[in-house]
Amino acid sequence: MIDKTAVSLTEKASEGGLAQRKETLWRRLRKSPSAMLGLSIVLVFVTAGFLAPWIAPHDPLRPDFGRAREGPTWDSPLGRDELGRDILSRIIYGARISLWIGFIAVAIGVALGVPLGAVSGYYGRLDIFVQRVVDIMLAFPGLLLAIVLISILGVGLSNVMIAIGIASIPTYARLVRGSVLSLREMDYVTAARALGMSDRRIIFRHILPNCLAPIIVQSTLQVATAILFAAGLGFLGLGAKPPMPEWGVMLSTGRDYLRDWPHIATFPGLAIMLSVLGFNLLGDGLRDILDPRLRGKL
Amino acid sequence: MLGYIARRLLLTIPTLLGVTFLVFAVVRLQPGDPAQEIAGQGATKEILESIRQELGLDRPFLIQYVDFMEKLFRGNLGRSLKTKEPVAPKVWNRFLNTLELTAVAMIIAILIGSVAGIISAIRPYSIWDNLSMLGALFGVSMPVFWQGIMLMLVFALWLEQWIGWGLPATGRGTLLHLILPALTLGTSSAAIIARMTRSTMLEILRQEYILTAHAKGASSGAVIFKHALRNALIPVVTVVGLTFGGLLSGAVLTETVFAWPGIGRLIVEEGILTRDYPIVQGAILMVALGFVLVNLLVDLLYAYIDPRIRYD
Repeated sequence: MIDKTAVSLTEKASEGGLAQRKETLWRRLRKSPSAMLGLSIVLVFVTAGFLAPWIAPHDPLRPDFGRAREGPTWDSPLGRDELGRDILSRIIYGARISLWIGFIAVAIGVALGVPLGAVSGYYGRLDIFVQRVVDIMLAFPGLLLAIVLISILGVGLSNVMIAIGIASIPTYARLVRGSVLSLREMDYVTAARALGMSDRRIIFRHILPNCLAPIIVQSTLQVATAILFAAGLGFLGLGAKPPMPEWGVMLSTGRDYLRDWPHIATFPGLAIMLSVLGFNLLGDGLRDILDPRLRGKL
Repeated sequence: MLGYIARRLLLTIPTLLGVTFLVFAVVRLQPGDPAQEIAGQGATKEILESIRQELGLDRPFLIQYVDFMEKLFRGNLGRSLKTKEPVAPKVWNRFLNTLELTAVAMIIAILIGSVAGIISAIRPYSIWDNLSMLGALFGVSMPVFWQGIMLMLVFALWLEQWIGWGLPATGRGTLLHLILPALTLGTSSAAIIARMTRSTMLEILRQEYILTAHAKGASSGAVIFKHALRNALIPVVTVVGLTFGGLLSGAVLTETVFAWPGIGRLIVEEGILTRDYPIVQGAILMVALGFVLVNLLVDLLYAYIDPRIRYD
């Protein structure tokens, strides 16, 4: 019979630890200027994305041929594109698309990669099989795996999210497997098992909460990668399609006007770089706080 | 060492088989009728039938795979659906072009990355350290295609306007054609290598044998280059292997920006966008095989440099 009090005490203790950790996390994050800069950049883009219809000065899709390729003015601080659309408004709406892709892709990666890694690390018998599958996925370098998946799923924005999400599964699976391998040997896991808890409960209540730190760090960095990949796929013509204000697509069309109107390609690129920089800074900062052993490493 | 090599080689076999299977499945996993998908809506029955025969779609799945593997071992990757030319020679030529670009990019990345990393580690938290780490942060965050476009704007278009001569911006030919694409492609790897070299060097400079070297009167140059750098190179080798994948990914985008006739452009422009699946299959297979082989070499090299690995 399971000792209910002991079980709930163990679980309460780990939840209390989690809440406490959250508080110190915020306090330590505030002390890191680069992480705070990253967080601020991320918040600017998130706010811009959420409030796009209210803060964008113009309609991102309405052409104004009389003002085509116009440079920066008071009315359009980043200028107009090849069809006379306001570039700032398009970048603000583009934040919506890029962040959406980033979050959905990460959600897919976490939802599938984390359980896969946990099961692989916890049950030795499945490990060999899962690791071979991961090896096969990792044989396609980064963007190429997403491209392979797009060639199966077809070109388009929603397929880009799915492809980038699936392409990140091996990263999560490896990461979580590594943590689970060491955590399952811990005394409190043995204690939980001795109390008669089911494997599922042990994995979800005791092991995974302790893998949270590396998962959070990886997810923050993964949003940056997803934004870069999505823009890259849009640039290649495999993702979003014109006239959608997606940053990669904007950059790709701006390239044709590079010699005489470089502002059309410059600003969408800056938006991609800044947003990616924000998530990278935040991710690096979180890693320094949550996992000091990895400080300065990849 | 031999045991390690054998084990590592054996582990590669299932990966390679899986890769071929996945690439093979790319066409067969298409939703709906792949032949219809390839030929487009207006295709006649005869055209559909000929595509099915060309790809062997009319036979059972596993038989198709065995057939595919048999042809693969003979170096036959099928024919392009559009031009009817054999895919293998084309894929091989384009792959060599991509290798040329990635190799030069890798050399640039190692040179810039390790120098920046060493300077940072020798004088941590100095202005040089801060500058190079800031540079590394931008290097990792910059989209490779945007960086390419900006370099093209400044060093090809604007330079030509200002002094009447600029670097060639597109195509492949002379060594000058390599400069802009290789620099573009190498930047993010340089950034990663710089960060890795810095952190490893910092760790090593704190070791006792470095203190010993100093104590016995070795010059600081000798300590850094003879004692520290050689040990710091071990993790850097792994990173070089890892960034090779990043380089291959980046190559797809860099090639598109600079109209470099590499395998990345082949996959996207002549493969996926025109639905020429034998090209997609052949080219992706080539890249994946190349990547798996490089990783294998890096692992073996790593075990050779660091004996702790192979005895693990």
